[in-house]
Amino acid sequence: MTPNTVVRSDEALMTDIAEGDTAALGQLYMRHSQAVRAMIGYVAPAMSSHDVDDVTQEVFLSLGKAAKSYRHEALFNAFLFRIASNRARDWLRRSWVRGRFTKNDDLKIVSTPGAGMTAAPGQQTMLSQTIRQILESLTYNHREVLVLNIVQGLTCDEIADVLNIRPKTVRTRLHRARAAVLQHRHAAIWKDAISETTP
Amino acid sequence: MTARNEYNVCRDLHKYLDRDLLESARYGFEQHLTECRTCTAAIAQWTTFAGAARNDATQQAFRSPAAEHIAQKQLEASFSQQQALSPWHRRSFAPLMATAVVLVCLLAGAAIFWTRANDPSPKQTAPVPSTVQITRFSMDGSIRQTTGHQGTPIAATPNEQLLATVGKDRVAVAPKGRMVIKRKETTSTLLALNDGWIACQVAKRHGSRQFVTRTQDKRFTVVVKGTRFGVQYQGSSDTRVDELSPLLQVAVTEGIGQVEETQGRTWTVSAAEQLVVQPSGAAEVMPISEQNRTIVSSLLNPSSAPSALTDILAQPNPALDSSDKASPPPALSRGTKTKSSPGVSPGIPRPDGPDASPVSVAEMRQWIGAGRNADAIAVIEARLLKEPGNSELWRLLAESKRKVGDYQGAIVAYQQVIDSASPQMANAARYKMGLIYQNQLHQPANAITQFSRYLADGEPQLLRAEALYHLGRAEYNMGHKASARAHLNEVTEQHSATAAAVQARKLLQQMDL
Ligand SMILES: [Zn+2]
Repeated sequence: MTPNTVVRSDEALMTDIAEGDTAALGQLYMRHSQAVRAMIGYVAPAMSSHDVDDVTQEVFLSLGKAAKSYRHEALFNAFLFRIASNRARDWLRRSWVRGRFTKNDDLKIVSTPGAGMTAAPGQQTMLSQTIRQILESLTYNHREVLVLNIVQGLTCDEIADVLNIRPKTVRTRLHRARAAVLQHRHAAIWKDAISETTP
Repeated sequence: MTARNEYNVCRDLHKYLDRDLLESARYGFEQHLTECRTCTAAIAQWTTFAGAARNDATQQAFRSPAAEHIAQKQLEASFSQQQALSPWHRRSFAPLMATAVVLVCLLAGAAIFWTRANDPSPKQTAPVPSTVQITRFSMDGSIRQTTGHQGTPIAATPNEQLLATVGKDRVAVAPKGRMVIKRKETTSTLLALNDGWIACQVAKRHGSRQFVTRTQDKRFTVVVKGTRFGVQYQGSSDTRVDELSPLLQVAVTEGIGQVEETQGRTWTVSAAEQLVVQPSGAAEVMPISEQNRTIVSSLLNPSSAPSALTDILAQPNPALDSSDKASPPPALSRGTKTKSSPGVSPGIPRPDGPDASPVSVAEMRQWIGAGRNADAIAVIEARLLKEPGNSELWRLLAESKRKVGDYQGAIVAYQQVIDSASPQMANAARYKMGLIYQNQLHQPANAITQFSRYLADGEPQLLRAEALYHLGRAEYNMGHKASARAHLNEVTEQHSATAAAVQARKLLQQMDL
């Protein structure tokens, strides 16, 4: 570590990885691991924090392996989140096989109270429990789009790129997810929050 | 506006939130918002939910710097192991010499049972000699001969490595390694390794004679015949064990090794291969890593380059592990680091330079001021492991992370400041977080949260005008025109002489266009 460390862009680090630089992958991990965990933990709220960490490792290992095929015109974030989405789905399938989940066509998770990232070190507030309940009431596909939109801040077109689906499909899912959130029986909590903050 | 019109405009709500509306339609919808309570409420409700969810996700995804550091090293190790599987790497490992060699690393008081089993010949049951000749190779280049005994510990200081002779076999002990050789029964030798690295070179075996290494918990048994190989085993018991490092590694440089697990699995490890068993139980046979190969030869040929070994052991070693057993020699291991610091991750990055003595907080500030942010981050993160409640360290970490462009990391660190610091310092952190959300991460909803909290705080707000301006700007970005206008007006009216007021006026004019 030198004092004049030049910050390399994500794309440049991907080139370094493709050339065999292991530490470059470590750097990308330190930059993006939290975002990846945030996504995975929300997309699959039933995952334990330990599983979230495991899957995050898998995501970055896959990222390293894919470095050689990474094209620089592709948005790095989209590339990373696509891998994260695939790994999260893999995990859900494995879990389903293990019988921890029931599955409908949409990979909807049967909520397991007290599971999920609730085991994470952060304290579990009422607010965060409510958010989780609302998320768990959504189908997997809807939740995935919603999380990419609100947690990762991606636009509909970027989400379409990440999930490799049509932008129109993204919009449909996002709108349904949004409507479901606003109509959720716990949505009143937001109304209260608003009435407290808006003059 | 007719009911039909209103219905149609309300339908644009999603497009508006998706930012899919063209400028004119957007303007039209914002006009509509001044009249339609349903849409206004829905937008407010949605942005509040989205902001809270984002904050919550970020918080739940937070891991301590120490945990992240370990995970990073584990990732790098796994990745380089996978890379070693490529044909390109496979070609680069040439077959090695004969004689059987065992390379063992045990952590945290684990032990190895080293036996000669399946020996049909009664005369081979002769006990190994009770004395052990030990050659001590010091890092300063000196070499000493000492004698050890079966049943008594043989330990290497951090400055030396040992080569012990037990009958025809040789056992090498890496710096800080500690082991006991004792007679277990007439047919076997028990080698109990308490700590550190050892490599064993065993005289060639004949016929059905085997060389057996067993881990203390007896979970793994390594059986070899005329094989040169290494074993790394990580005990599973206490806090010092890095749970992310491989549990067991068996590296074979010549011949074939058979590894058996009590749960029934067996693996065959051929020349130039290594078996890696993860704590999860996942196991894979792959080409031997260059580092493992180097460690074997360095341990068994100590005169060649004694200091090179410690350099290798000091590296985050993908194949071997990154426990503090592998810490570098005295220069860096003085002080309280190593054994007495549970949970401290192994290769805590230390700054370059000759002086590795503790860096004062004042020095850290100087480093950040001088642009040595990467150095500062390394030192601060190491220090935070010991003082996780030190809010000034968190604040400096946040500053340096922000400066190197790690905005998410800065957010996490500022959150720690908010949680641990004095009210005034916490509130300043909210302001800085708001700026990062606003300017770097482009998350206006989060910026609104932080600036609102900053302004709601009872502490004196040195940056009240600025915070109001930024809040107004974030609200404008979110499409909350009414509240944006209110906050910007407050700046221009109550803080009219400030630079923020100038900015606020500009933005208000822009909004009126
Ligand atoms: Zn409306």
